[in-house]
Amino acid sequence: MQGKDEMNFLSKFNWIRHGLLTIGIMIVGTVIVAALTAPIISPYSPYDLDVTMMLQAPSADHWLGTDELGRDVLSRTIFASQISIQVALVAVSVGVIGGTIIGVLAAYFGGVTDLILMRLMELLFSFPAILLAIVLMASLGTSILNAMIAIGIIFIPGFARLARATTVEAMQQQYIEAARSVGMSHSRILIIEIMPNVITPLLVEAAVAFAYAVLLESALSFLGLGAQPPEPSWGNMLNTGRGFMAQAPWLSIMPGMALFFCVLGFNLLGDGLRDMLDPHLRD
Amino acid sequence: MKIEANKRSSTLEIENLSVAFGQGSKSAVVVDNISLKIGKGEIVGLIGESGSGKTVASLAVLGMLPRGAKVVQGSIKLTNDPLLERTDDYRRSIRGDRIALIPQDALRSLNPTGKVGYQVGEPLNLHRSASWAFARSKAIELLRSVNLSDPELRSEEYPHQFSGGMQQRAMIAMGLSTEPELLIADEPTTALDVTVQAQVLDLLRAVRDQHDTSILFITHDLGVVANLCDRVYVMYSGAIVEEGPVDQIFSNPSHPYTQGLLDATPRIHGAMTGLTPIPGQIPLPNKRPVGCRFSDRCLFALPQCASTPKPITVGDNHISYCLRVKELGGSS
Repeated sequence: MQGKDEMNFLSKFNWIRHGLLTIGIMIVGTVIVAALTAPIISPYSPYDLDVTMMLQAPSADHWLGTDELGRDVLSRTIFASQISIQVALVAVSVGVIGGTIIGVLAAYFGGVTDLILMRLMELLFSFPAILLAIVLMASLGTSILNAMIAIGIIFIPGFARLARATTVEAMQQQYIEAARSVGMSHSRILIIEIMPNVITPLLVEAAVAFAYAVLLESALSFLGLGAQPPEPSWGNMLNTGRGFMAQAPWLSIMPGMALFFCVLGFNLLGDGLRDMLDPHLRD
Repeated sequence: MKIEANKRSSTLEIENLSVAFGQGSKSAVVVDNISLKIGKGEIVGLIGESGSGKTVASLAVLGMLPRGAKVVQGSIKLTNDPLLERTDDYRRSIRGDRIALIPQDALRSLNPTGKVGYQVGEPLNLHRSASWAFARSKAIELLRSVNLSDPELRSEEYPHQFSGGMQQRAMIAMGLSTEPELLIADEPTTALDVTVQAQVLDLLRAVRDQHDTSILFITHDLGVVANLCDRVYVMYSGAIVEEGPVDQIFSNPSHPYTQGLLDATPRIHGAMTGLTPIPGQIPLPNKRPVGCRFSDRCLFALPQCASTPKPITVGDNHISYCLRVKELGGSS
């Protein structure tokens, strides 16, 4: 039954009208497939050094050339997508879950709870994101896991505000009053009545946050705080390439392009989802 | 006729209930010392203008007063169960089980993201620990009992796919799911057109006849009251000004406010001379005149009206709080 409904939805969906969403899905799909199948589709291992092949320009053997240690740039770019997707997935999950819990609780209970939680969120918000990430990384230690947590914490206030706003709006609806009048408990009202209304805007925000998470991870890795060499990451590849801009521009162009398209894809996906799900922008 | 309310066991008994918003010198008494009784299987109307405190009184019964409002005196008994002495958890557990609310705006009271069948069956799952499958099958039965066609199909639909009358019937079905002792209907027909309104009223009457449910019907529509209720309480600015059997209230209104309300109601056989409005407007809770709170708008007010109104029996179970009722009786 459920499967049939989904098939029906897919065939009815107007892919042309939602052109941006379609492009976004295609780009994001490509990145995800690349990340999942990296060991299969990569022509070389991302770690294999070959000192005889240092800084080779793109050729039939190495489509995108090699880096300063003779590693295949294409393979490293493909493998780096794994890190980006992983970090973004965990960070956005931390942000969505933490932010939703905080925002919904603040809105539902109001008063002092609201005051304390939201002031805390504003405190977090007041730091520039990259600075906050650096501070968190400095105190947590540099590793990719800590990068995920740091980026996730940066996302919490944004999601908390959004969740709070949508919850406040939902709470003013009469069906919440009606739910109370049939004797529902707080937790039941929150889960059954409020959550379905909060989930849509959060979903859109999550797609956009995904793009930002990819970018932040690259920034941290660029600064040497995220993925540690020899682990490939678009950020640390860019950092390496920076030193060889004149001799070997492909070193920076490839990870740069990958980063650009990945971020673009998630942004298009987010915008497209918003257009599709927001009843005000429909038709 | 179910006039013999006093002899039968009461489903709801409110005594000297006062509800105030705010605290100290800034507090406003919105419901002031009201007493109200609903017998088993009785339909009682609570009439009043917007702001007369009728909805707040019903929220006090449900235990759902908004933030800042609290009961300052009185008692509320649901079949001899003193509700005001109970914990919040206990009161929550009887909401939707022993007392059900049928709200004014059915569409806005149904969650747009949930299928109607689930929402109608929800109280059963909540209060009777029924499985969702059982609750759903029971919901279909209930939807059929409120004359919804194709209940199997309809229970899978979302609220916005229902018409206004269907939504209201779904809300009534939801209210009936646990066979409550008391139904509180807060202007359930205001948002409906007249033919649908008649169907909903018939349905409520049928519910009373079949299940012996007591119904508190809150409204400002006198036509609906005349049609449906056994007894009536007229509320003005937080207090009850007149109470009695519905035929007596309409044939012999014994408070200038009730008379004014009747004169301001359009009638098919009425003269074309137009309606007589009541001058002025309902006073704010902290600006009420001393004594009888209708005195500043009353055409018959005397200096004595500044003393606290006392109940005066005008007929069988018919009580007026107007000082001059004997002289003015039947003058409408």
